[in-house]
Amino acid sequence: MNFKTANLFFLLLCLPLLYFLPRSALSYQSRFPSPEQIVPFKSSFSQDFLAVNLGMRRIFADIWFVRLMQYYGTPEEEEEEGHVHGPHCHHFNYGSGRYPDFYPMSVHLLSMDPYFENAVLYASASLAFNLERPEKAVALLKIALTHSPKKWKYLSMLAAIGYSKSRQPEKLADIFLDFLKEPDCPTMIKQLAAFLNKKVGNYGRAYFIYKDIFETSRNKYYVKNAKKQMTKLLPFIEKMRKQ
Amino acid sequence: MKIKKSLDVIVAIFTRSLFEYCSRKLFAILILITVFLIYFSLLVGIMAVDYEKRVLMDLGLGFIELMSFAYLVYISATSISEEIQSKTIYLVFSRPVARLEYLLAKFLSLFALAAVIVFYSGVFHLLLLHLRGFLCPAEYFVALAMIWCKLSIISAITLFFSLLSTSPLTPIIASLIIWMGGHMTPEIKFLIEKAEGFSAFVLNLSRYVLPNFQLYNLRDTLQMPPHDYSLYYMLSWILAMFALSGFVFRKKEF
Repeated sequence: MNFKTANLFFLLLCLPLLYFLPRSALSYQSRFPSPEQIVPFKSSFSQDFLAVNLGMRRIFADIWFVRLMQYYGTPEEEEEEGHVHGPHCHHFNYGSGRYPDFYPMSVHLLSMDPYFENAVLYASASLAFNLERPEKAVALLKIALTHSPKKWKYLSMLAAIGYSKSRQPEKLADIFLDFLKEPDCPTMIKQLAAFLNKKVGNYGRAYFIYKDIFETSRNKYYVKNAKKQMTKLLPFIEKMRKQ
Repeated sequence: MKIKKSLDVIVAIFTRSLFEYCSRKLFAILILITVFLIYFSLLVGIMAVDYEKRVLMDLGLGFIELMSFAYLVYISATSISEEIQSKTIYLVFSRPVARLEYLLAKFLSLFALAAVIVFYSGVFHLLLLHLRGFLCPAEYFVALAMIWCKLSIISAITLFFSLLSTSPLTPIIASLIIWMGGHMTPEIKFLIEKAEGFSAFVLNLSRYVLPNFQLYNLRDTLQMPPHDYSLYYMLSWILAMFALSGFVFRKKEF
């Protein structure tokens, strides 16, 4: 191959790229929000920078979710004086407490990966039903809905928050039933559903939800609690069968 | 007859190069570190309790990509320059071997190396997931294939840069910048809106010139199908890098 032919050959090989470069630049739409929409949490800047630059938003969102669960699972300092407990305490009271960083952490997590469905449900349910901050839960769900407007789970959660405000536990329990049909339903939601059903007197349903938690959850505390509740509910079930 | 002879030469250089890359101590160390990191992800997975599967899958894929990237960039940056320094290349060209044949074999060996690393790390990762009782969805394998595509593009780019520079550090740094910028290309358009003057021009240019690695980032967007032109885009990058490398390599004096 002489010099001119070789150069022409090399030029021809470059042509496909000249076609695809503008196509990729103009037509590709990222499904993630822009980096400036990432809401920092304390000193998260360097991690956020890495997450965006290495294309690892999902991984960093996972790590932040683990952190969020650890934070929420750690008893608060006032515990002994004020009897405030996290979900992993001995006296289970569904994670009530103050947890001031819970909402900012959730917003940060959501701005990293707004499609992390289970994290949205976990955080919004915790805020609405355990931490008694339903307005923050609604704000979180609204952020998630801007990215996934057709997600029925978010809409159902919004409805559930509405019913909890109007103190209608029966309707609330019914809404949570829809979540239970999903194979990847967060255990925390199952726990809430079981608790609500028990509260409104649906002992049979509550028993089967606890049984599901007992069989499927990997969280030792939830499993232990489910076992305890099943033992408590068994006499009611037997009584119902006899009737 | 000529084509067969040419193919024999390419296959010989390809197998020798691939064997050499895989028999380095660094390769063994890299595989060990990858295995360790994937194993380490178990710990994070356990902390995620009910979300262990997602965390294990995401972290595993991330570690596979990062470690493969590190080794491939190093190998791509040094493979030809080391042969020049050790004078092995003189031995190769003392025989009837065309420069393009040599270059093509080098490119192919790098792609094969990427496949080998992704395959072995992937097998270990799958084994670990299986031991934890998780089944992998089909998207997992697509994500692995896409990681290979990304690695092939970056190794082709690094090899091209290694021909322009005498020090292996320059192509390594250039690749790192391109790797990060390539993941940022969709986000660059948001930055352009804020920038003015020369910086806006540079940002706009980089948006067009940098490879769009987000096209292959299914690791981050599992359950999304790959883009219809991903494969052609990768091939076009590889062809262009091969052409530019060939242009530079033909002018090199040995």
